[in-house]
Amino acid sequence: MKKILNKNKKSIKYPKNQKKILLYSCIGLFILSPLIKLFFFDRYYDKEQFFVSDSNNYEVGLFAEIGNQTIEQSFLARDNNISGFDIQFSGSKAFIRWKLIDAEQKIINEGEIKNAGEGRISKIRFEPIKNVSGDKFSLIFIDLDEENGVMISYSNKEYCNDCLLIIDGNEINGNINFVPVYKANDFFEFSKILFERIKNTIIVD
Amino acid sequence: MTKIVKFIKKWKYLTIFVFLVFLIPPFQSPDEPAHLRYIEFITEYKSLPSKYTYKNAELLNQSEEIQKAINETETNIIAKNPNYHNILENEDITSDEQNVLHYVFNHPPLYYIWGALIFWIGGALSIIQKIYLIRFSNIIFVLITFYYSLRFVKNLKISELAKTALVSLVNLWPMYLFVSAGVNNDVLLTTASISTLVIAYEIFTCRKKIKISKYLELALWINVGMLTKAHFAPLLLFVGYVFLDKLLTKKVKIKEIVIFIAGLIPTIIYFVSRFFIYGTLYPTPSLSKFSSEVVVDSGYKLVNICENLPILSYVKVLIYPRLGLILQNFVGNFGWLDTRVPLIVVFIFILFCGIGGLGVFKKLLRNLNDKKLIDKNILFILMPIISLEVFFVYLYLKTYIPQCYLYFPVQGRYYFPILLPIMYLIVMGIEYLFPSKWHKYAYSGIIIMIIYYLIYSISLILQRYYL
Repeated sequence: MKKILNKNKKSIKYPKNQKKILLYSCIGLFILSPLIKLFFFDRYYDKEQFFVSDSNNYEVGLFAEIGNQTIEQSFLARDNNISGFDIQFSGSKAFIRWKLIDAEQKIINEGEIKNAGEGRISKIRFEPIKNVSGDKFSLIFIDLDEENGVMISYSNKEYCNDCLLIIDGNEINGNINFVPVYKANDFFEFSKILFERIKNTIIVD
Repeated sequence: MTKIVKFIKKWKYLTIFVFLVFLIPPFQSPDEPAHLRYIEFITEYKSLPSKYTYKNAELLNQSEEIQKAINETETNIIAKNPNYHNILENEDITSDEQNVLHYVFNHPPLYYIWGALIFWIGGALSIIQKIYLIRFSNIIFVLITFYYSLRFVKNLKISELAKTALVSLVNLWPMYLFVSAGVNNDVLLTTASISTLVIAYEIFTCRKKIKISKYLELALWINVGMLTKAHFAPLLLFVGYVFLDKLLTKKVKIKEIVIFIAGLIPTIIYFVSRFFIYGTLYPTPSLSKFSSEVVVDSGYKLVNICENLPILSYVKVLIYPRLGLILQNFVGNFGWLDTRVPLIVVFIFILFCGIGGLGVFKKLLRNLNDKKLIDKNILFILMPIISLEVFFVYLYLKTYIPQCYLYFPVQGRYYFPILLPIMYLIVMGIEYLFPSKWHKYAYSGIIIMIIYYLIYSISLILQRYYL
């Protein structure tokens, strides 16, 4: 079998031009790979953010400690194909466990975030949950390292009418600093969203 | 000239730049609102700021139109949250924060006069449209930088591929293009610095008689640099050394020096008048009414504790986090310096600079063996790098320690004046450290990597602002 394979290998001789084309194609693919990943594989976009922290990349305001306090942030999906969240945690680095539950308290998805904290933005991504536009979801966090607690900042002002933040069973008039992320169905849908946004940003009255 | 240089020279290079101009939302290029205000002020008053306006910097801050545009574009909200974009679908959030715009008025005015001309040409356009127009006009400076970097490599004794790699490293450096695509005097500073260094290098290495026009060309770019930003001044050390060398070897005549100095008259007049009017070369605006409230910057300044701090803590700040910040911001930190490239990219850059450093060291040792003490290429690399760094250390000691800053806010773009020497350092490292049969692969790799890095940076900017 090996011999046959080797024989076949030897018999494939690429002309010089073909080799060049192959090499240039590989280089071209490598150079364009960030955009290929963005347009063909990731295709993530958001629709809104519920809380913008108040200072120059530093959170100033209210914090809840994950693990020692129960935190439940509910929201309405604004689009189909919800596919994850970007969340800003602070405090020390630790493991966090998160759960996404639907309106009937059924767990839709769950997972862990490593090294959450220190003001960094954690990106949670999962397989898109389809046809959820207008559905209610809740995000719950559990700290696996309670000694080095991770904090989450939240606003003291309502930015989202359809959202609800509950800390230790109390309704808070605000939201945590997070963004639900959606995934476009295909390249064309994604390109349309992106170019529409670029166009809208450039054309300002 | 290789195919790739031809490729860059063609319209594709311009397309990348124009694409960046429109990709960065208004006011999201670092310090853009403040730079725009300087331009607007000159257009509005048809003069430079006076002694009165410097003393009452509130006037420099007052711009209803810019403030309105900042609020409309939700600049503050987007800029202050690295996770935030997509302004149009976030209608609930508003910001009525007043921006501080006066702090760039300490810079000399040349870029702002240029901007004012474009602003005036813009006529009835909206302020946002004028931003795009001024950004677009920066293309002239970017092309001049490109021209001078081509002129620099032309006379180097390196392969065509090495020349292409060097030109690509300078002109396709994503952070340089990103900063140049915004309303910012650093674009003109970089152009003036690279042009000055290249002409000085040409004079330095020229064995024939140097034409008067070359000295005048040098004087022109020194004028441009000096009248753009103070950061240009340290580079004059290299220019001074070139003249000293030429004087000692009797290759420059007094007449030529006189003509060169005569060419510097605009700079001389500007700074002499500054000194007589303001008592300083770089007058700084001060806020008379709310100085204590507006200037205090709790993010950077640790108030009331500096008196008891050991001197070592300041030395530490000079190194950490300062050097890390410079590197990060030089290599890639897009947006309002909130969109960092991964650390691995910074480490790759450090690795290449390390290779460059070792290559230069090897060359120096070889020169010592040959009893050749002065190497013009090494001087071209090291002198501007060291003089600029000494300048920033001086600035830190003079300005930041007395003001009790424990955080030294340095931006990587302040080091773009030495972009060419830094990239030449990398090429030197490959030349002297690697066997020549590897050069082809090393330079091809560099060219591919720099284009890849540019595309990667564009995808980061897309995600930062639109997705």
